Amino acid sequence: MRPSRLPFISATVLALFPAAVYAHERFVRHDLKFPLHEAYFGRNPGAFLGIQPDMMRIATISFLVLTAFLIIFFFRQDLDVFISHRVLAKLRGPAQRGLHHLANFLTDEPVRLPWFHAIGEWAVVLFLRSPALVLMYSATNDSLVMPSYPLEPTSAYFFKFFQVFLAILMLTQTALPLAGALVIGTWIYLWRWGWMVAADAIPVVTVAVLYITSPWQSYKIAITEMTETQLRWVRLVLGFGFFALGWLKIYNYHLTAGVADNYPSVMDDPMIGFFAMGTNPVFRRENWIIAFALAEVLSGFMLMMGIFTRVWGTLMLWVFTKLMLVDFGWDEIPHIYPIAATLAVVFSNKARSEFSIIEEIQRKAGREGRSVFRLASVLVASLAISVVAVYMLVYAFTFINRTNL
Amino acid sequence: MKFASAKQIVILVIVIIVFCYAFDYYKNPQIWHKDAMAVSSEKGAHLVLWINHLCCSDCLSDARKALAALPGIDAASASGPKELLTREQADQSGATLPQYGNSIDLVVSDPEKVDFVAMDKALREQGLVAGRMELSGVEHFRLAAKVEHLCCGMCARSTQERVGFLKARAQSGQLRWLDSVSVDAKAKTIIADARYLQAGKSVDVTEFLGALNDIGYAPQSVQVLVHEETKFVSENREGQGSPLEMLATAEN
Repeated sequence: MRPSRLPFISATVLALFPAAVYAHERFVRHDLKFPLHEAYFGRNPGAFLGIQPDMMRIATISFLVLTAFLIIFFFRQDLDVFISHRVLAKLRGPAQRGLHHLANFLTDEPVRLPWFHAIGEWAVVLFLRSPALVLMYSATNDSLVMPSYPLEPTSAYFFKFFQVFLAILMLTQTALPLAGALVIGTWIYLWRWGWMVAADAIPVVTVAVLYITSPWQSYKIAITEMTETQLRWVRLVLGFGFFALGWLKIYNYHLTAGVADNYPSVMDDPMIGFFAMGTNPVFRRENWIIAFALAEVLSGFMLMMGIFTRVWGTLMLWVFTKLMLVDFGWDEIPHIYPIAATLAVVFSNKARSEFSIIEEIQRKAGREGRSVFRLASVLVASLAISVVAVYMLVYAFTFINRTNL
Repeated sequence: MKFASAKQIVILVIVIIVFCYAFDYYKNPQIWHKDAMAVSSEKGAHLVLWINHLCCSDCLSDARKALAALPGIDAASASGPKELLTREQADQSGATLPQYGNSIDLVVSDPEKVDFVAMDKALREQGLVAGRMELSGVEHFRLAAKVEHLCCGMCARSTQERVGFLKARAQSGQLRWLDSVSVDAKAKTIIADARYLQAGKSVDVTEFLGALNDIGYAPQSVQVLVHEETKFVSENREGQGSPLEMLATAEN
């Protein structure tokens, strides 16, 4: 599968199965305590594109943020030169080195520091083994793969032992390709509960990338680093998982609002507040759903496409840790796994972008002195990518009645 | 080092998927036969009371008498064991212990009117005790226990923790139907959310009653909440009006 097709596949998957929804319980409570303004999420005659104005405002802020990040990213080499030769030129010693490393970290360039490398190695070890903790936790809660999906009592016994077996493979690093196949096979089996369940579990598949590309005799070697290809696929699957989950939050907005009703503290987040700025407070919960979802869509998209991977990865680490330690507590302990996956990506020195071709075009135009074309190519590409990534599904969802979900 | 080929991975994944689906089909055929499920759910809600002392027709008569005045159930059409002995036969019988206990199947006409505490009390007053109260035929519901003694935040917190602990400790499968527990201290209510109840499956309400007793509460009533409107419990939240009032206020 070509990575550039992933967003479109996500859109298709989400649009094709509007009715195939199964009720499923989450361990995190999600019962809606107050009714939502249902009209907010549907067609709004008279409004631009039929999208509710507050939703449109949040989408536009997200669009602008994405466009700005893309433009800056496509000029990152030039920024690097500017920082190195102008800003850091007057500095010497530790200050210069420190800022140089910081600039490298922010622009996804390799950070040549021993401690950074050590954390990266440890993060890979944690990433490899942390799914075992999630499986064991799920097994003790009569669930499959994720604690959100309860097992049937009649088959629970088998699936619980199955998960323990898989966890042992992971913990002992034994026959990892088999473990990878088991993870993928089980994820496909999750479709039995409906497509939303499978979409919810996409991030779990991320680790399978690492497993299936490991040697059969994996227990004999120390796996502390990912290859460039492994990292690329881990980034693509993980990013796509969060991109899809972000859209799912808008699609299944009752569940998202239900979580907020039970854990009101999740609504007090400065980043989400930024996306929802200037919106009508009458629709506070509705705006929060859209802002929260689009923040996740942006994070997932940037991670998937390799745009400021480390910056967005670090933001995601902050959000996951906050959700686990502050908002939900023990119920969301499986967040250890996405934290581990994101850590492994953030502390890797092999980051690449899926849009490197645009960088190459603008650099070539720069060398040839075609400044207008250089600027135009970056601007047009950034705007086109942002429109497709943000507006397309926001618009499409208004046509789908989800009041019965 | 030998790596797995794409072919090997694809074959393994297919084998695993086929196995998982086949096993699931074998163990949970009801999930795969939606039509049968629909027919089954049309039969409506049922309550089966397992009573360890239900050996003869007089016992059944006492049980019917106890249940007669209770709302939400049709005690008159309660069906007991098919071959229940008469009192005279029972006097002569050398029945073994398994024949001593039996069950009554009650048609639930309105699940929300059934009060399990009242039912337990009524049976006890007739000298009988239901060992299990198995509710079936209601796909999604909650059990709301009215507990007068919910005096402080500590009561509320400890209830959730203790029920969670009891569930985790239940090695023989008690409370497996329980998804989560919430406490509305203002409304003096403990609400147990049941997992999605599939056709042919039942929930033993006595497990919840026992759990409440275990953590030190004697509920005044335990009722079934079925309708969606019960989700909006805002009137019980401190300082807030009803959802409609809130909406009206917000929109003004």
